[in-house]
Amino acid sequence: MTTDIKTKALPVSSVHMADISTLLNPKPGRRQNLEGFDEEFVDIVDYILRITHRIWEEKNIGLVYDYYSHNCPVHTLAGESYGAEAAVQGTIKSLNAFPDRILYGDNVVWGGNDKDAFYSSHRITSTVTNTGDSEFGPATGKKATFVTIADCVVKANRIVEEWLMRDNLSVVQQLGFNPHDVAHQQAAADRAKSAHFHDWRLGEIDRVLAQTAPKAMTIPDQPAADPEAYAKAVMHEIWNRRMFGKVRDVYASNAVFHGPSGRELNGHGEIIGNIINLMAALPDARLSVDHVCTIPCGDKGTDIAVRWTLAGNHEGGGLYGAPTGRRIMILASSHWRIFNGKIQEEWTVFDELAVLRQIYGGG
Amino acid sequence: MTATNTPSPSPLNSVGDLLTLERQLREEMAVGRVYDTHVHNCTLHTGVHRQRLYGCEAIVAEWFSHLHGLSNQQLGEHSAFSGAGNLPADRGQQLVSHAQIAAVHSGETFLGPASGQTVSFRSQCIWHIGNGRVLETWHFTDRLHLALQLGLNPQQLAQILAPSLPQTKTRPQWQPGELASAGGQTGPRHCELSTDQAPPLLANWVDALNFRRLDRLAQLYLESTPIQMPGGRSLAGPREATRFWLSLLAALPDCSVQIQQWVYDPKAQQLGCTWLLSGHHTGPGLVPAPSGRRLYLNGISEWQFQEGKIRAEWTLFDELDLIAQCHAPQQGQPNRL
Repeated sequence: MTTDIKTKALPVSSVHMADISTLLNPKPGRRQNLEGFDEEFVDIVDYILRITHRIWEEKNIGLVYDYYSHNCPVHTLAGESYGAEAAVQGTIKSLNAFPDRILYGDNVVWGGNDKDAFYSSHRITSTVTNTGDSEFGPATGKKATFVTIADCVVKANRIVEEWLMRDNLSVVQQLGFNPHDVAHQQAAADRAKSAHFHDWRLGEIDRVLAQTAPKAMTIPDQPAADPEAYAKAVMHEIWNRRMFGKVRDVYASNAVFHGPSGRELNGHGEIIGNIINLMAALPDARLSVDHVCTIPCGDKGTDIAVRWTLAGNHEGGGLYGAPTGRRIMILASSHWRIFNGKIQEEWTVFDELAVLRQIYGGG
Repeated sequence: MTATNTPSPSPLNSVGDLLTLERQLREEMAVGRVYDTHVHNCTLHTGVHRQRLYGCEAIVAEWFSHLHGLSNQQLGEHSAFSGAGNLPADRGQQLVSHAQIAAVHSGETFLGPASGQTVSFRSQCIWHIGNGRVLETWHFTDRLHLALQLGLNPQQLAQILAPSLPQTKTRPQWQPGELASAGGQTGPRHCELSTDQAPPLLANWVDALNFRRLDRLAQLYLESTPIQMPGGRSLAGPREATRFWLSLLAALPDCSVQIQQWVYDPKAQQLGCTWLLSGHHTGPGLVPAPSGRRLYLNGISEWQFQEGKIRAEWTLFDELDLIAQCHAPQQGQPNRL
């Protein structure tokens, strides 16, 4: 006997408040159109979480060949790589340095669809023990916890482009290295490479700095109504127009900010101070919002992921030491948790070790 | 066929479940209960200088460390409540608990080698629970009271602990911008709690401290309110409450208080919150001479009301950590990599 009961598709998976036992074993059945994806995946969130688990935690690194396109560019502030083979090699090196790495998926904010391509912004907290030599130095045996945001364009079961923001300076600090020493060494190595290695970054700086003078933008009252307009207006007003006081309008008074290199800040005063601290080091800096996506957080909240680029000349002291005049670029991602119309919590990740590397004349 | 080795999730759905969990962890040392009652990426805030432990494994390790040092734990007074909080209802449940615990100092801890002495201490927590699991939790332990019971000198102990503070190792000191209370010539800003469900008393408590109106702070208490404070202090009534806060404000005269999480049960007239106090140590107290440091203090308060006034209070913060911050060796400049 067969039953003809029509079942309603479950909503797309949400990482928020979900345990790993549920996330890695979703109830079968498609929750959104996934043309070209393996049958086992129920939605884009499931795809991102499970391929990360398989590649990194189960150490089936060869799955990169299946889940990345052959010519996938991976953009990091420390340099670019192309293709699945480079991703495989990078993963092997990283897992040798940190073989017990656990990648806790804290959120997957996504947009797009299977026809055009999905976009996912995956925030990961990693715990590691450094038992092998790493890009930062010899094995230390020390443990570290750090945050990464991986933004991916996904089409037909493959990642076709990726932007990887990892808090490397935090890793270096926890391993007990001096970040300035590491950055100096990396910069010296960079200078030995061909100029071509840095071309993409210089082009990006030109793109961001070439924007016209900042005009006023109105920040929408309802972030969830048009998240992209909201994110662009917030970043433009606060960063490009230097209207730092608007932090008080868009952040809750007791907002929590988790930033790179161990910044854990609370409230308007510290959040404003942090922005000014960075802008004082790069006083002519301009910011470009490069991508925005959003998902609901419960019935009343909104999670927004913003990928952004900031470029400027290191003409101010403070944060990064005495001015060098060098052209600096920051590739960053911010995840905002919004309810009651205000940002309650923010996670911003960029590779500040790579910023120091630029300061010291490297890539 | 019998099922073996099958995990029994036993979700947390009520105040009773939470009290049972805490009893299992402390008295029965069922540390593995963390795995089936906490979400895999749970965050534990210890109240010690903004320390966050991330993930079940780190929380399990913390419980082992705690129970190794303070074994044979027996819960005395132990209560919890839930209610409306700072988070929307669909984002889970928030609960507040406090417990008085007897234990034996049986292993090496921050207090030094095992002494075998019996000690008693208070613990207070706020729990954020969703889908039957702990998502995030804030735990406070009266470490100063433990030190005092073992006859340790808090100043000497704080000096020993100071070099291990996170920002004094290899990390920068992040303390950018103005203190939240600073309003320039216009004075402090009134407390904003972002929802009208918060009881007025909460904002009144914050404003009384931030506006330095100890008279208004006194008005929040009944005449004989019992007040439990850090270091095992038992105070009574508005006069002793204001005296306590006056000492702290004198030590940190530009400080401000921000509410972080709060939970309110209007029916039972109970309120709990965690808060962050920060300011520059330019006044007397804490250590013999003002350190000038910007200090951060995470705390938790739980109140019971009667006729709109506080009739019982439990407040806890890590005073030992506060003193340690004064002794912390300065390494590098603030807000600079």
